[in-house]
Amino acid sequence: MYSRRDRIIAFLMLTPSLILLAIFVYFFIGQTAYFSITDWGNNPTEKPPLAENVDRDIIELENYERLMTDLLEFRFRNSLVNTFFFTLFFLAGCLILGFLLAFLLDQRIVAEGVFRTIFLYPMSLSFVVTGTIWRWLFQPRGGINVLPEKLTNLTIGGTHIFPESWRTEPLDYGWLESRTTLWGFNWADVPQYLTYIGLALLFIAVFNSLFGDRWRSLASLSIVLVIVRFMYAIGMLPQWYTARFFENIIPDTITLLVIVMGMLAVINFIRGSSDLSELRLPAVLLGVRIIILLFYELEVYDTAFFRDTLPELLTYGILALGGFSVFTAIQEERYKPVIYLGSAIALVYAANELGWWENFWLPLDTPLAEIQKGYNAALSGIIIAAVWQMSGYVMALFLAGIRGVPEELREAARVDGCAEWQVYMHIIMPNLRAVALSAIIILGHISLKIFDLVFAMAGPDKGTTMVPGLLLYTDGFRGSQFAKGSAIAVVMLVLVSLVIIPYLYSNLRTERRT
Amino acid sequence: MTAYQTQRILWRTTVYILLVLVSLVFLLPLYVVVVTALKEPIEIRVERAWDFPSKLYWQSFKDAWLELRPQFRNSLVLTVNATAISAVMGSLNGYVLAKWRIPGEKVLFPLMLFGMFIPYQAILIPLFTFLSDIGLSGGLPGLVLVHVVYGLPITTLIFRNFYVQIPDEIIEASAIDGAGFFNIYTRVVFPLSLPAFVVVIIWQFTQIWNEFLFAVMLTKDDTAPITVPLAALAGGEAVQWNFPMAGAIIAALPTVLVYIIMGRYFIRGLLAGSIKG
Amino acid sequence: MKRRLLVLLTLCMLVTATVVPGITQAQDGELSGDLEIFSWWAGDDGGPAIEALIALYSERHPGVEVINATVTGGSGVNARAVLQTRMLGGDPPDSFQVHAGQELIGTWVIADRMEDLTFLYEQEGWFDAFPAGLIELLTYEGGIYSVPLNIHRSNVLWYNPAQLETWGVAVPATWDDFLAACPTLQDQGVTPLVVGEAWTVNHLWESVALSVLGVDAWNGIWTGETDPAGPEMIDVWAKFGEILACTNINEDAGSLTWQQAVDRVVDGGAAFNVMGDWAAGYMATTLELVPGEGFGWAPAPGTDGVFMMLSDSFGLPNGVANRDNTIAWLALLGSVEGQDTFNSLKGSIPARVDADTANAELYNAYLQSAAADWSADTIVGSLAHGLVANQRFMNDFNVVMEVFLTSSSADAAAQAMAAVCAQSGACG
Repeated sequence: MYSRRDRIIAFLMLTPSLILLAIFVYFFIGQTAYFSITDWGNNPTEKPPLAENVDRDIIELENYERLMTDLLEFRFRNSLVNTFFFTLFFLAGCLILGFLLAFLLDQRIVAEGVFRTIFLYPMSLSFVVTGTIWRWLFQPRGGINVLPEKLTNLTIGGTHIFPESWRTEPLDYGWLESRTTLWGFNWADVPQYLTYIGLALLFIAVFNSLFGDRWRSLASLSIVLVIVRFMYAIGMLPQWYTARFFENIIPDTITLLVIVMGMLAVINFIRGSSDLSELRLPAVLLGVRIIILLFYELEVYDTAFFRDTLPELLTYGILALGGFSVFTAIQEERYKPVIYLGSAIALVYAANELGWWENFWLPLDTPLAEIQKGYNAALSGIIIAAVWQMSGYVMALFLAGIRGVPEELREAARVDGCAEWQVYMHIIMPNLRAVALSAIIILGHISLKIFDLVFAMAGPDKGTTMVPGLLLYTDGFRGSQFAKGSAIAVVMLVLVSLVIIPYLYSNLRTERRT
Repeated sequence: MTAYQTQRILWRTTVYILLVLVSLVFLLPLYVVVVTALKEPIEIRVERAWDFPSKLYWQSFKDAWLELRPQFRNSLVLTVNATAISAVMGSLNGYVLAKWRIPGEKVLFPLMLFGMFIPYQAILIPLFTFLSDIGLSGGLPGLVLVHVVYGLPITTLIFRNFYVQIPDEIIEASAIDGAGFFNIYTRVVFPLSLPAFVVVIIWQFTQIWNEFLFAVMLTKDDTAPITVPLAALAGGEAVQWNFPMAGAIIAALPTVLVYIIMGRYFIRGLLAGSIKG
Repeated sequence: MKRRLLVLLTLCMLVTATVVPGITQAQDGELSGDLEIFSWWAGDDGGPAIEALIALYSERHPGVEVINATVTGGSGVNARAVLQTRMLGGDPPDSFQVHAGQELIGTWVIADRMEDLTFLYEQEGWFDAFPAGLIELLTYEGGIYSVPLNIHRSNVLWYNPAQLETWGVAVPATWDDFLAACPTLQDQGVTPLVVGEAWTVNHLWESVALSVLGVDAWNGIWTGETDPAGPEMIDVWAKFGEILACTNINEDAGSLTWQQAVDRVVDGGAAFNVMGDWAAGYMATTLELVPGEGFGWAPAPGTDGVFMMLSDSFGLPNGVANRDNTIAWLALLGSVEGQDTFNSLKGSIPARVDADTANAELYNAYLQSAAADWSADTIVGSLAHGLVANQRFMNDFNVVMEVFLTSSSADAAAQAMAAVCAQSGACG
């Protein structure tokens, strides 16, 4: 259709952008990645990091290892935790508020333009300005904390508007100064948590892909196992350690199951509605029952068995079943990314369990290890400021998405007797999925990269609000630890890529299909 | 009055009450900024952040404007140029990617997009060295280049997603009429792209105007955009909050104006398909 | 009247001409081009002082266009990032602000980024003009690498004399005195000791450490003679913890700039503040208080007779664009007139021994007392302001502080400090 000459022109038009991006993105990232495997700045007295012909040696992954294991690098690990919670609440806040506002604005509002502008204007400000304003508002002795007092004590012409009982004192919440940590956890347990998340993803994918398939029962069994293993891990099942449960309840249940299922299978076979294949599961269960019986008879079990050995066996069982299920599910294209992710995480965990890198993930038991891991309340203020700034954007996206649904479709639903909320639930929401996804991507990458807002609000040296972007700036630039800074940069890039690449991938795939 | 009507009135009242409440919350920070900027320095105390100034003090705005004027101009030059160039380049890229089969396009496009997501601190040192090598460090042209390049992924994405929706038949028809690459662009594609341009311009204008890291790293005093002296006002050891607040208002004015004027088109532009991707 | 002014002016110029030969030389040289001065002095904090100095320079060298490049924000963190990036990119400013001591030597001189200024010292006769101990701080392997502009004292305790009287509290001579007065103040709803954002806490720590360790052990940290995880250091952290309990650290410390912390003392919301003597400049110039009446000062508890110093200086980076202009700038900095112009506005004492510190119009009561202490006291270097330890140590000291603030464990903090010592190579 198009002439050859025009095609060449088209390609040439793209070339400048390609070359620029090749240099500014990939070449620079390459350099940063190279710096991250050197010792640039690790030894400031022997090898001055700022020398003209700087003396850099390659030390491979040592910088990364230090970030994960060195006691002094707890700030980096905390910054990852902070990023996790920041992303979670920032996304949730923006999506919920953004949707709510879009929903309200969609109700044929008078002066919609005014409201829209009010919700959108924060987005036009720079993070430096937002940070400055909100720092002022979160001063512990002023701002938000004195607002309830001011409002309830409002007077008009000397008389109070609100009754005596409404009036309050200033709050004393610390906001950015807060040192409270919620939902604390032990850093050494993180691989396990990751495993559970990964395995859960894996099995959900497998389960879905196998829906109606003959391996479905196997997959659901695996899910049950994962849940049990998880409950063990977080200590939700202390009373299950009692021997009674294992001695009586489980074997009896299994026996019962075997009998019922076996009978059903036999009946079905006799009625001619199925072959004997339905006997497989009861047969397996019977096998399990016999093994348990053997355990008891041979007195293999004791309390330690249930506390230690069984969970471990469960883990291996899960891994084996999971692997097997993955193998069968792999043909199903759309679950591949999830499966790869899950497998990767499971592999990391397995490798860790097997001690492939002993020092990689230290079980920290020094005093230094007990430093705030969890959600730092000081982040709340920053999350509020960020939500204030970006929820208007989400509102605009959702509003555009809602308006994109043809009015006839909505009208038709109304005619069918749907209430307004039902119209939203069944007609509009499904159409917003793509919009929500692109909002998540935009907001997600902002939150993974967040830096100036924290800097302007909380300053550079507050551990409770540390984020990787800021740490890279303070340690990499102020402390001249360029290699470490580069390593942090690479970790950030990997995190961002984990969000972005599957998205780009699936986006392009769907396009190819349509 | 039927039950349905009562219900309806109740519902609409709730909607308006909710909207007004949320609007108030959104406007609170603005109120504080304006009030603080209009206070005399002596009157500013955290405990009294919400009080109205006893008398309006406009001097801060005059002072801040005098201080920020040269950088305000720099910012305008920078933003207008960088926005225009990255919008035009993005539009051409989007056109090529949406309507011309390019070898390796499936790989090239995601590779281009990825540039949007990198944390910029990560590439600062190579970037600075590179700009010094090509003689562009310390001035506005260098900063324009940087903003154009890092703006390309998003502008390309928005335009591409927009152009994909233009039916191929229209373009094929022009091609059969003998129109070449540029003719199709100028006659068919470009006239249709106004909504996408609005989105891109708003996005880029805000991003570039508000950007701080590159601004402080890549310019010198006389070429700095406005965020640099603004951060100096706000982030310095100043105790007189009226001054940075007035500065913040001045610095934010152009972008806020852009939103007020173009807000309607922004949503329309988003609606026109730029959000799909 | 007019004639007398004229005579005075001529006299002034004559004095300058005889005392500062370098400047007259430069004056003849008809300099031209640019001069970019890089610092983090802007706004209240040193802004007017550096501008006055630049004005003086422009008067001397009208052909030179001076670019006052200030990068502010969060305790110089932006300035440092910009400076490092520019140096690495091969585009140094003509001269930049740097603290004397390790910040200069351990960062820039060992990286071979600075030009040796011995020739300038010889030419200007500065070996007698500056204290030998100060020059020592600028010296590395025989070369001298910057020109000191001023001296600040770090270990000063500030208070409001009238308020102390109403509360019935005396100025504490030791930290134990302070701890004894602490409940009295707390009962009256007063913060006994106010601290501000992160670096001001480090600033307090160095005064506490100095008082617990004493001069020799303090210096010993940086030569390797004091074990950073040893019992003495654990004592320091323990004492520091007790003192912190008398501060606003868990209330609103992080939201206060150092000026706002000083404001608390002035307003009567807090009794004491340990801050460098730029606080005197702030209170005397910005708040217009009379030294000795509106505010009082004493050496930080337990550090009487010791002057913990820091000094701002400017150097000559290698390969600058306008070397001659920079040398003229440095000559001006080191001159009596340059030092008096700057320091009277900055609120610091001049680095030169022969500056006009007796002049009460230039130097207020506080500065005169500081000048007296400067010549009488034992001098030690400040940690929080880059004199005794390199950048890396200073940056990572924030980690140590974080460890202490979250764990409240003196042991853990001392361990962390030992680790930082080992990694940064700053402790001998």
